[in-house]
Amino acid sequence: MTAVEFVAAFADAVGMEAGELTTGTELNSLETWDSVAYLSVMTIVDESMGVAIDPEGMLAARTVGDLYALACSQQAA
Amino acid sequence: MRNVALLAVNYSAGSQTLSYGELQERFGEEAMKKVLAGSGIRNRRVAPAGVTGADLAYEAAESLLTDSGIDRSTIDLVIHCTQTPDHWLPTTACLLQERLKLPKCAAFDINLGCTQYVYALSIAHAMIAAGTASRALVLTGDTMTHTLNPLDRSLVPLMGDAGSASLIGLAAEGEGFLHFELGTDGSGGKYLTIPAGGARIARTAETALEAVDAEGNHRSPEQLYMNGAAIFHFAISTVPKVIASLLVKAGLTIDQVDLVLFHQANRYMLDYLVKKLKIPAEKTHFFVEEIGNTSGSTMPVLLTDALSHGKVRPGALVMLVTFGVGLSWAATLMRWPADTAAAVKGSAA
Repeated sequence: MTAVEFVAAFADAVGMEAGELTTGTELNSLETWDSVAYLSVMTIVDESMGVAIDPEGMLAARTVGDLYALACSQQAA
Repeated sequence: MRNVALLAVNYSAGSQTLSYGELQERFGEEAMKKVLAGSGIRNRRVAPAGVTGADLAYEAAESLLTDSGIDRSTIDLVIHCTQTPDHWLPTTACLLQERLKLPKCAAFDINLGCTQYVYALSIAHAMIAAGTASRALVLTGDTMTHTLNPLDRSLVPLMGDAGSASLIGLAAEGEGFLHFELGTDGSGGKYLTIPAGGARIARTAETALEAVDAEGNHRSPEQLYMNGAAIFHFAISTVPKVIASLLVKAGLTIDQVDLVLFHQANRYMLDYLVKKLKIPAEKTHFFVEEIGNTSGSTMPVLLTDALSHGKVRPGALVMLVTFGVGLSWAATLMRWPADTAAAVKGSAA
């Protein structure tokens, strides 16, 4: 999954358009980044990248790009 | 070793319904729309104050014994599963033995949550197979809604209350329980917990104080807490491995199993697991939308509903998969008996 594809999937999970987000978008700036969106993102990453993204790492992530980097690092491990 | 099977099952749910509409008023329409999308739970059955998990287990057992015409003197083992016991002591199973008027039996509790039912089945199976017991009642009963803060939006919309009763006894060759897969990861105990009120952290004025978390949920350390993301992570990463291990033990593939039943945690998670495991819709069953997550009772509740819908056929290979608080997992594969009616009425060996 490329970064562009991840941003598009993430946008879908938080109910936004892909064009409204970048990898630099701050998660805390998103009103819809909540516990339900967490589950959607975990599902997307598990399905597309074959890894169950670490929930504590998700909590520590600051930007959309941080989440993508976390998923990639778990995939590579 | 003797063959042992689950012969009959029944449940009793909390008598009150906490509706979607009531929760919309409490938490707001937008919030509940999201909760519904994330859980699939519309209504939940709740036990009124004063009704305990043991009361629900008792109701289920009384119906099972009476409706199935089971001779109470043939029951020589009661295993009651609960995390909301009537008292610190005595063991709730002992009180249920007396209430159910079972004249001669061993009785004890299992303190486990979501996986309690399959753990109890494994113990009943082992004791009957070894000849220590002949016919067991496996009971479950919890009132987890009584452990919630009414303003905890992360849990109140999910949880329900129920109790159940199952008859376990001898089966014909090739029928009944074939394999079990049990496991634990206690490092995740902190993700689903009631921290205070036990011996480690006694109840004090301080532990009764509520705090409000980042998402606006109210909770004290004496009330149930769940880290939903951590539990979801555990489920989607562990459940496929548990099923794979069980299938290896049995020398089977998933498409050879006739029915796969999952702990009814929430519908969103289950839909994803079913999709991930490529289990066709007709080979599974759901029953959480109108009752809620009833903790360790979800599996016997689901099984009862699946039986009433004709989804458990005689001779079918049935897999039960549970996971949750502990963190803990337990799964079993069983061949449903060809004639449970005869076995239910059969006398103790």
